[in-house]
Amino acid sequence: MRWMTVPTTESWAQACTGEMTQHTAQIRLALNEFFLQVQGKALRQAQIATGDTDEAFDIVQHAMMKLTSRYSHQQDVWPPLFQRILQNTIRDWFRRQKMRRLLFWSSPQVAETLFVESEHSSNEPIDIAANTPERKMISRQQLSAIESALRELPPRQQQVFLLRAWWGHNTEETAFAMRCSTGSVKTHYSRALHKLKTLLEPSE
Amino acid sequence: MTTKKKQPGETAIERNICSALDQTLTLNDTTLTRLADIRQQALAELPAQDCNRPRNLWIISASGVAVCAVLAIVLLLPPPHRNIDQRVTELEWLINNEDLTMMEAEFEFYEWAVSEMDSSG
Repeated sequence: MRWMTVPTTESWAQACTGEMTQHTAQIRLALNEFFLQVQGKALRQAQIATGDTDEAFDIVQHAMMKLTSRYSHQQDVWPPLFQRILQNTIRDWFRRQKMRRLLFWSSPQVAETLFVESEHSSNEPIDIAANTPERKMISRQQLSAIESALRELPPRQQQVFLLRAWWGHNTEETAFAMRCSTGSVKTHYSRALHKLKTLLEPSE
Repeated sequence: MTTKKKQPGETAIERNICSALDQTLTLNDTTLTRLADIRQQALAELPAQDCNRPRNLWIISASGVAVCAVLAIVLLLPPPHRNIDQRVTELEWLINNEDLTMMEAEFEFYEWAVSEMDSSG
């Protein structure tokens, strides 16, 4: 008498295929829905941070792929996890840039490579927004001034400001996304706001 | 007297910035197409991960068994202080042996001395 049948690889695959396909399809749909909700802001934030549209696409792609490959089973916490991955990726980008700048000063060869790259990429990021009636309410000059002011902020202040003011996250959520204390979030936010006021508000 | 702190988004400058950024959130077709590609590439990671799940369980189980086996071997091996005791015993045995040899040599001497005394007496 056999108490237990040992499943073969094929039978295991057949048994789980139906269930898995349904389960995977549900997750796929939910993830796609989630990505559709966050992709615009994520791309704009990355674009403001890097000043380069291609780099921004790469950052968003990395964040989406990492969330899918590692945390697809944690649907309840997708928003904070995605934010954390996104902010980490942006921070990594800043670190790489810093490293490249250091190499720039130490190695003439790297400096030459960077010069060639900078010739190909324009300073003005490619416009990713559609020309909607709402868009016409704000002039291109105003938008450019706002983006320039945001870019002048130190990376951490820029991230905190966008997470708090634009994404609408509270202090705790922002602290989780940025892997810092709530006290740091408050300090960064206060400093960012002060600097933005100095840069954007006309002096009396 | 307590003063209420302003929340993010309450000041005019915050509202202006957010409003300006919101107006650029309607993306053009090129950007939407590229984002759709990115989403598809990201979602393609999903089935591979689910298929790996049972295999991962086997890997975890096998690793657990291996760790247990190593622990068992380590625990069953004689502890180091036993070796030290053994060495001490061996040393004592050697010393004792040396004493015995000396005693044997002395015994021969006493035997010779007795025989000499007998022959002279």
